[in-house]
Amino acid sequence: MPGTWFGLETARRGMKLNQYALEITGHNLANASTTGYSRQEAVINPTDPFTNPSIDSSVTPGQFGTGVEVSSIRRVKDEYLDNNVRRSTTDSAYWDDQISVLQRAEASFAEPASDGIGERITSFFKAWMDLNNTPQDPGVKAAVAQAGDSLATLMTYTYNQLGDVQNSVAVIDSTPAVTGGMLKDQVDEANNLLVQIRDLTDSIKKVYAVGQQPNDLLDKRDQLLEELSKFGPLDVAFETVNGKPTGELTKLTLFGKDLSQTGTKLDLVTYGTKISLKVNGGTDNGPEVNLTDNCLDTNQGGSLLGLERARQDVIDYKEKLNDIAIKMKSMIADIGINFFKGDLSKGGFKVNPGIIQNPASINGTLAGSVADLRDSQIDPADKPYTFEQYYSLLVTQVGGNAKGASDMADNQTAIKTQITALRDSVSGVSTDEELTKMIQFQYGFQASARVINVLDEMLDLLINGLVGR
Amino acid sequence: MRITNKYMTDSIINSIQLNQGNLARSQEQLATSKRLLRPSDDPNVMGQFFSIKSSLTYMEQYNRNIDDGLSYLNMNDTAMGTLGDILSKANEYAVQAANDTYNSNDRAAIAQQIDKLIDQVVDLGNSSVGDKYIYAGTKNSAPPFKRVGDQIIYSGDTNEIRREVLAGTDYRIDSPGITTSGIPGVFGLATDTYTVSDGDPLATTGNGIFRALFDLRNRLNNNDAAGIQNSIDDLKQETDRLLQYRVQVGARTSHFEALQNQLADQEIKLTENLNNIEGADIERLSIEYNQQLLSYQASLAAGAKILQVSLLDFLS
Repeated sequence: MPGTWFGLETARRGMKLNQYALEITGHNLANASTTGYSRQEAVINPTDPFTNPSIDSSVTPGQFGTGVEVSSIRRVKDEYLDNNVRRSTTDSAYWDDQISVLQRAEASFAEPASDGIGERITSFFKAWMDLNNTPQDPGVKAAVAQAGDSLATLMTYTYNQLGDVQNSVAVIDSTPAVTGGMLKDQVDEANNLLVQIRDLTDSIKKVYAVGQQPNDLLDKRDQLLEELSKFGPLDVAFETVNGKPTGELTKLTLFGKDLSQTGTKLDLVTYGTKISLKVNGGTDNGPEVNLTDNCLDTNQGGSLLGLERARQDVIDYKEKLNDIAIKMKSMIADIGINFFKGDLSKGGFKVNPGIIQNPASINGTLAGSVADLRDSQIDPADKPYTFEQYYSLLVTQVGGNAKGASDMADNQTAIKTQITALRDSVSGVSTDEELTKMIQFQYGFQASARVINVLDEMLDLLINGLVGR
Repeated sequence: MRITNKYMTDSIINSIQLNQGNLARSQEQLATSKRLLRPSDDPNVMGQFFSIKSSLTYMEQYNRNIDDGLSYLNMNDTAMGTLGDILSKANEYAVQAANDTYNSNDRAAIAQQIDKLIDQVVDLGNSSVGDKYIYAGTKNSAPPFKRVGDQIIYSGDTNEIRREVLAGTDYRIDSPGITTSGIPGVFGLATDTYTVSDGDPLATTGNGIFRALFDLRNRLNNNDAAGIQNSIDDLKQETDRLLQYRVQVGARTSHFEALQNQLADQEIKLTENLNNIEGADIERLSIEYNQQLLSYQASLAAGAKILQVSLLDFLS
C-alpha cells in the first residue's frame, strides 16, 4: 500500500473535482440565456498513477490510481460553424438594412392611395380638357391653375421626403464629406468593434501564455467578430502553434482589406457622388473599397453595400420624378404656356406665380394641345412612355424593389436561423442536461465524502483503538 | 440534433412573430377591403392598376364632354325647330300675299310681319347654352348676330367646336352659323368681312335665310307679285337646307347617346377589373383569418406549456 493517508488524498481529489464540476455547471446555468455563450465543460482526467517504473520500485501490486483532476476547462464550440454563421450574417444584413430604407421610400409615394401623384397627373390633364370645352371661362382657368399647383406641390413633397430618406443613409455636405447618416454610424461602430477586438486579443494571448483557457473572453471576441461581419464580408483566421491556439488573429480582413494591426481605422471618403470605404493603417495602408460601384455585388454582401444600394435606388427614384417634372414643364412651354417653373432637384417645382395670381392669363385656345400631351411620349428615343405610364413604371419599380428586398431578407433570415440553430445545438446550454449533470456531480461529491468518512473511521480504529492497551 | 432551451425559446418566439405578422396583414386587408395596400404588395399588377384607374378617370371626362355636346346639340335642334316654324310662317304669309286679291297695302302690312320675323331669326341666331353662344364658332362668349338697320353683322368666327368623346377621337358638336364659302351655314353665306346681309335690296338670292326674308319683305313692299313667287321658292330651298342640318344634328345626337351607353358598359367592366386587382376577396380572407387566428392561438398555447416544464419540476 502506498501510504497510510493515501486513500484520503484520492477521496479529497474526488470531492474537489465534483466541486469544480458543479461550479462549472453553475456557470453554464447562470449563462443559459447569454448571447454568444458557449457551454463549458471540465476536461476530467485521472491523475498520474503510482508508481513510476524505476530501479528501486517496490514490488507491490500496481499501478494504483491516485484520483482525478480537472486538466482544463474547455468550451464546446465548432469553429467551422462559426465561419458559416458569419457568412450568413453578412448575407442577411445586406438585405435587412435595405428593407427599412426602401419601405420608407415606398411610403413617401402614398400609392395606391386615392390621391397620389398618378391621380393628380390625370386630374391635371382633365382640367385642361375642361378648359378646352370652355376656353374663355375664368372659373375653369382657375381650376386648371389649382390642379397644376396641387400636382407640383405633391411632387415637391415626395421629392423632399425621398431626399430625407437618402440623407438618412448618408449625409454628404459640400466639401464633399460624409457627415452623418447610417453609413457613418455603422463605420463608427465597426471602428469601435475593432478596438474592442484588439483589446480582447491582447488579454486572450496573455491567458493562453500561462496555459489557461480564456473561454469567456474567446466567447466575447467571437460575438464581436460576428457583429463586425454584419458590415461586410469578414475573413478571420486564428493562430495555432504546434496545434495549440495562441489567441492571435493571423487574419482579419473586411472586403479583403487587412484590419488586424492595432490602430487600423475605417473611414468613408467621397468622390463626387460615390462613397468609398478607406482603411487607414494596417499592412497595406490606404486601399479603398468603392461602395457605390460594388453595391450590387451580392457575393460580397454586408450592410454597408446594402445601404449604399438602397441609397442609389432612392437617388434613381428622385431622378425619375424630376424627369417627369422637367418634361412636363418643357412640353407645355413648347406649346406656348409657361405654366411650370423650376426643377425638383434645384429647390422646387411649382406653377408660375404669375399664373397663380392671375389664372385668367392662361391662353384657353391652347388647352386642347396641352390636354393632348397626355398621350405623347416623354422622350421617344429612350423613354417611349406617356407621363402616366412613366410614373406607373416608377411606382412599380419602387414596389418591386421593396418587395424584392423583403423576400430576400426573409430567405436569408431563414438560412441564418437554421445555421444559428446548428451552432446552438453544439454550443448552447440545455438546462435539463446541466441539471442532470448537477445531480451526477452531487452524488459524486457525496460518494467521495462518504469514502473519507469510512477511511476516517478506519484510521480512528487504528490510531485510537490500538492505543492505551 | 441536440436541443437547447435557447433554441426552443427562439423557435417559439419566431413562430409567434410569424403568426402575428400574418394576422396583422389579414386584419389590414379585411378592414380596408383591399388587398393592395402598398406597391410592394403586388408590384406586377401596379402597371395594370394605374392604367385602369386612369382610363376610368378619363372616361368620366369623356362622359362630361358627351353631356356637354348633347346639350349643345339639343339646343341646336330646338333653335332649328323654331327656325323651321318661322320659315313655314313666312311661307304662309308669302302664299297669302301671292294671292291676287291682296293689294299693295295688304302686302305692306305683311312686309311688317316679315320684318319682325327677321328680328326673331336674329334672336335665334343668338341662342346660347349657359353663356356659350352656339352659332358663334369658338368666339362664343358674346352674341354673334347683330342687326343694324338692314345689315346683319356676324361677330363670331368660323372655327368648329369639337368635343373629345373617346381617346384621341373628337367630333363636331355645333352647326356653322354662317360660312364664308361653299355650302351656306344655317343662317347663310357671309362675305369675308362677315357681313351676312348688306342691305342691298337687289342682292342675289341663295345666300341664306336672311337674304330670303329680306327679299320677301322688299318684294312685298314693292308689290312685286312675281318676285313673291320667287320668294316662295327661296323659302322652300332654305327649309330644305335647314332640314339637312337638322338631320346632321339628329345623327350626331344618336351617335353621342350610343357612345354614352358604350362608355357606361365599359365603365362597369373596368370597375370590375379594378376590383379584381385591388379588392380583397372577403370570403376567402375571412376563412384565412380564422385559420391564422387558430395558428396564433396554438403557437401561444404550445409555447406557454413547453416553456414551463423542466427537470426542476421533478427534482424533489
